[in-house]
Amino acid sequence: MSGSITVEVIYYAIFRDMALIEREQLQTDRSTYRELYTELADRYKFPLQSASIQVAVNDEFVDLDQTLSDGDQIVFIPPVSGG
Amino acid sequence: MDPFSISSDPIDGAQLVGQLDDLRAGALVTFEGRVRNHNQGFEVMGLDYQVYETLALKEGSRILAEALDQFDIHACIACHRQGYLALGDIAVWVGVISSHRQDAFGAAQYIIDHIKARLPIWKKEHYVDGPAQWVCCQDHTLLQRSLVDQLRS
Repeated sequence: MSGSITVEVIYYAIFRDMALIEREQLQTDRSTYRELYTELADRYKFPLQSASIQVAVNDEFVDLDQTLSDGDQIVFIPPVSGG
Repeated sequence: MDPFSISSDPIDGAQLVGQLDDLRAGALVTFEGRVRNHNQGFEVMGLDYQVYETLALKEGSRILAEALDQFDIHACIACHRQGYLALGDIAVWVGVISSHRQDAFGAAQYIIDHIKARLPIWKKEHYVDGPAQWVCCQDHTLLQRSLVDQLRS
């Protein structure tokens, strides 16, 4: 697909349990992290809207509405429950 | 040793306190978060902590730096567990030293509150009466309430 980029998505917690994988390489033509999350949430039946999650890219928190870049390592972060 | 750490082994509070020797300090405040036997009315047997370690270490170090910046303290350290924990195990440990107690109390509260709210760490509770569940959010509401309600009935 022209214009598509390759990213890696790593899953934790409820997302890992539902996707049944820890990580995957994806080709996508989505433009933002939020759009990619919405697609994956639909595919794996994640029970959380994008408004309930955060995203980290290359091990830093970023805004969900930022634009995807080729080679990004992406972690969608469900509500945390440490401590 | 880094002041913020993630541990797969049991937390040794005495060993951590040993890193906080300082003759300027008139106050040492420590906090231990422990695994309790109940949540939302359910009997808990134990839990798993899953940690996004690279980001948790960065964010944990930032929280400690913020505490050093905002409170008049000499040092602070914290450690969070990952993996399976049994009832009574220490899940998280915070220690702060300061000249006077108010600063150490305030900083310890700041650190544990921000650890709970910001670190990419997730808790899966194992129950006596049903399948394990990811705990969602700081207020410990359960992600799949309908399933929980089924268990209860």
